[in-house]
Amino acid sequence: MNVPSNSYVGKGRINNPSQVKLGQSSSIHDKFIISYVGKLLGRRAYPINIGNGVFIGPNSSFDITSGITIHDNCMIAQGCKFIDHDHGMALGKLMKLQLGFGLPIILEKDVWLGCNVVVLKGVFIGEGAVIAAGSVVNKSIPPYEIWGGVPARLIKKRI
Amino acid sequence: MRPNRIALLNNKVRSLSLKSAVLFLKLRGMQTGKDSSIGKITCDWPNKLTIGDSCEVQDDVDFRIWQPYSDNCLIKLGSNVFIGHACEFVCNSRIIIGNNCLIASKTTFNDTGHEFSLKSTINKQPVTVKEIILEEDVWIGTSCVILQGVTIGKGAVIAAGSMVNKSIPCYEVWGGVPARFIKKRV
Repeated sequence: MNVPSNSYVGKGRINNPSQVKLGQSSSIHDKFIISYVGKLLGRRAYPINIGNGVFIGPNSSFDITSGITIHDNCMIAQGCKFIDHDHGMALGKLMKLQLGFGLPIILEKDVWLGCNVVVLKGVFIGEGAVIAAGSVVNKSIPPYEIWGGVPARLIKKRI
Repeated sequence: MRPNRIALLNNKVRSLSLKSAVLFLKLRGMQTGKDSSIGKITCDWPNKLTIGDSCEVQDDVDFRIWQPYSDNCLIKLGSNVFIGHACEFVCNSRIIIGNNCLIASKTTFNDTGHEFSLKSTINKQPVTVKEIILEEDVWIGTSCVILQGVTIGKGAVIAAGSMVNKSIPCYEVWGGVPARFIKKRV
């Protein structure tokens, strides 16, 4: 795992530490679960890439098959969850056997997620967006807006 | 790229410790089928827990059994079931999960509630208990809450983050807080 000396990693579980990169002065707090099931990439290419000055609260979990990028100065409260894959649900075949493909998740700079937010596959959250606590994000979110709810809808714009 | 040696060694130690933990659970009466992979689960009364063939139960799953001396209180997983990280089963009656179900992480099954008449405080009133049944091939998204008395039909899909308090028919997609009908599977 690529961790600079001035960032903090609490107690948690990682199945593939070599695929994780943490930036300068960022922190992941206790009880995190980072599971990466996918192609092992070469050196200097990290599927789970967390930028500088990022805060990730306790109990977060990352369930990644293709990739997630979190840019600088994001704030992620406790209990957030990132899943970048799903299942097909056509009739006539078990859903367990219909494997969906993964799409990477991208969080731009200065994004604030409230606690227990779930971010689903292929979501792009623009710069300076705010997500209310407990919401489920299944669509991409433009910059400088406040979204919330299950599924997340526009609440207002930041002025 | 090959994973490094320390990681491989760590993996071996982990799998050994998991095997011994599962063996201890089996000695205490847990029933498991063939080829099941079981992570670090917590279960105070493993004799009330049945896990079928080739299941995958991940770490931090909590099976909480409140009435260990009653015959009706049990948790039963069918075969080929997947249960993600940090799921929670609060069981006062029966929680039965059919074959080929997919349950994503942080899902809570709670078959217990309280009566809440105005006469006294809520903690002195009796609990209400109704069983939860999942039929075959059900897919539940992450961080869902399944409440008491719910039966989810064959092939149903529950969207992430929803709270299910009603029974759901076969081959439908439901979601929201509380869960509402979204569409039928085609």
